[in-house]
Amino acid sequence: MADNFMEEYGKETSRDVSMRTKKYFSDLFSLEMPLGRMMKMMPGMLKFMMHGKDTREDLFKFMPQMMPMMKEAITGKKEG
Amino acid sequence: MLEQVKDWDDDFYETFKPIAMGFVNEAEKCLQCGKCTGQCPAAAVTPSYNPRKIIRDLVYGNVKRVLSSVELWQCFFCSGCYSVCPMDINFPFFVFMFRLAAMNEGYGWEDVKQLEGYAEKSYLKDGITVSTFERNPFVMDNIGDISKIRVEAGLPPERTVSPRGIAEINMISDLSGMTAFMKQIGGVELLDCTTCTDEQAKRCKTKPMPSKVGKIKTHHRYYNYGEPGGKKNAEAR
Amino acid sequence: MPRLDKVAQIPKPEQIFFFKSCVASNKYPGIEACGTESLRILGVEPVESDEQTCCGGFVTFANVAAPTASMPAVARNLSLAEEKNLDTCVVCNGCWTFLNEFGHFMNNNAEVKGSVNMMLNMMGREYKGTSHVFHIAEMYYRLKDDISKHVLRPLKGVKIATHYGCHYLGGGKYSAIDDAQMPTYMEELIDLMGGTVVPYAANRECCGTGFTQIINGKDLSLDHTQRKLDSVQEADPDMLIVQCPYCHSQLDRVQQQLNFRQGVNYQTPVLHIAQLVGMALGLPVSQLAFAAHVSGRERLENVLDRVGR
Repeated sequence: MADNFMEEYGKETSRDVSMRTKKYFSDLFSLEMPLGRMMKMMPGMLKFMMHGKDTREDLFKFMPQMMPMMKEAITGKKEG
Repeated sequence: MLEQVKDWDDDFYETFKPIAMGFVNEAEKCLQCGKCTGQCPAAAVTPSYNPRKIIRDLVYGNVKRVLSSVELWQCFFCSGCYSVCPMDINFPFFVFMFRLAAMNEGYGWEDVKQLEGYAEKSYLKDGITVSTFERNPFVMDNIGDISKIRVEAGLPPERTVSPRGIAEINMISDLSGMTAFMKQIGGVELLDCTTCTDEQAKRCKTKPMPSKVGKIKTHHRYYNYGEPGGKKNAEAR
Repeated sequence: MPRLDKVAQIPKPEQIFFFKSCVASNKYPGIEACGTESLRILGVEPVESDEQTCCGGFVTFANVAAPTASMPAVARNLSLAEEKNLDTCVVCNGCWTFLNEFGHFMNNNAEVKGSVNMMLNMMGREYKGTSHVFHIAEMYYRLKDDISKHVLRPLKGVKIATHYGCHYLGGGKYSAIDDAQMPTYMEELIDLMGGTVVPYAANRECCGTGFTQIINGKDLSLDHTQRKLDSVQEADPDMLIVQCPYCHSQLDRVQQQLNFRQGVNYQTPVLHIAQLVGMALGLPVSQLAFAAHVSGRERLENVLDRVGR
C-alpha cells in the first residue's frame, strides 16, 4: 500500500519528479513571448479574424501594438 | 523507510513557490494543528484523506507520495480548511496546482476525462458551463421543458450568449493553450470492464493497470495516506 | 454577527451589472427571475449583457481547462461591467469567489494584468479592475431596510433553515461580510421577512457537491449530502435556504436520488435566497418558478397557501 508508489516510480527520486514539476509550471506560467509561442497563437487569432467583420476590425486595431512584439520575438532582443 | 526519508527533495517547496505565481503560499508556516482535517467534508467520508499530511509532505518535498495519491483527487474544494486555518494557508489552491502536476506525471486523467464535456461541449460552444440537458428520467418527467418554465418566469425561453462572446472565449482558449490542453484530454480513452478484452482482464486481475491508454500514459493511483477506512466504495480507480 | 464596517462599504447603486449563472439559468430559472426582479423592486436596476459568458470557475477547478485561460476569461467578463461603469452582482458563491479572487490577483500582479490585457486588447476590450463584485445575499443585507419596507407576503409561521455554502464565507474569509464559522446575516434577513429560523446541527457542513466529486466520486458526494440532509430532516424546516445554485441543485436533486437508491423519504424544498426574498416581496408565483424544483414540491405549495399566492 504505502510503498506501491515507490515501486511505480522505480529509480526516479523525488528530486527528478520535483524538477519535472517545476519545469512544467514554469513553462505554463511563463509570460515571455518567444517565437514558438507566438506562432502557436496565430491559428487562434486567424479563427477569430474569420469570425466576422467586427472581430476583424478589432484585431486590426491591435496590429500596431503587435508589430514590436513580433520584431522582438524574431530578433530575440528588446527594443528601446 | 530510511530510503523514503532520503528521497525527499528538501528545497522543493522553496523553489516552487516563486514559480507558482502566488497560488501556493504560507505553507511553510503550517502549524500542523489539524484544524483543516477536523472540519473537512472529504475527510468525513474518506478517513484516509488528510490535508494536514499533504501539506506536510509538500513542504518536506515528499513529492512522489503526494502526486501519485488518490487522496489528492478527493478534495471537495469547499475552502473550509482555508476558513479555519490560523495561518491562512489556502489549501484548495494547493490541490488545484498539484492536480495539474499529477496530470503532468500521468495521474488522474480518467477523472478529468469525465468532465471534458463541460468545457468542450458546454463552455466553449455555448458559453455556459451547465446546459439544460437532464440525464435523470425522474427529473425529466417532473420538470419537463425548462424553457416553458423560463417563459412563465418572465425570461427568454433560452439563455444564450452572443456569437461574438463565444468567439471571444474561443480565442482566449486558443491563445492561452486551453484548446491544446483539451486535445490532450481528448486523447485519453477510458477502459470499461464491459468492453475489456480477455488479455486486459487478465492483466487487470494480477496487477492494477498502469496502462497506456490513448496518447496519454495513465498511471494507477494509490492510497498513499493509509487504508481508505473501510469504505467499501472508496476503491482506487 | 455581520461585519458592519464591511456592509457599510457596499454602495447602494442605481444600476448594477447582473452576472448570470449557469445553473441558475439552465436548471433553476427562478433564481435569475427573482434576482433581477427583486433588485428592481429594491431600487437597483439590474443590467444584463448577452456577451457575458460563464465565469469559467468550474472548468478551471475541474482541471479541464488550462489555468492560463481562466484569468483572461475573468477579466473579459469583468471588463463588460467596467465598460458600463457598474459594479457586478452575482447569484452564485462560485462566481463570487472566482471573479473576486482572480480579479484581486490581477490587480495585485501588474505583469499578469499586462499579459491578460494584451489578449483582451485583441478583441477591443480592456481590464482595469474597477468593478467590485458583490454577492446578491450581501446586496440584500445592505438593502435590508428597503426589503422590510416592501414585504408584501410576510413569511409568518414558515420554518426556515439556512445553508450558507462554502465559497462565499470560506473562500472569501476576509472579503465576505460575515464570519466564516458563525454567520448570521441570512437569519437576520429571514427574521426581517417574518419567517422563523430553524437551527440544525449540520448548518456549516458542505452540501456535498464537492465540485467534481458529484461526477468523479459520486458515492463520497452522496454520503456527505446524506449526513447534511439527515440533520435537516431532524429539524424539519418548511424550506432550506441556500445562496449558491450549486448547493441548490445538489441538495434538491440528491434528495430524489437518495429516495430512489435507499428507499428513504427526504422531502425538504430547497430555495435560493433570491427566491425567498422574491416570495416575500410578493412576486407572482410563476416568477418564483417552483416548477423547476425536484424535491418537496407539495410542501412548497403548502407554504404558498399559508403565505398567500
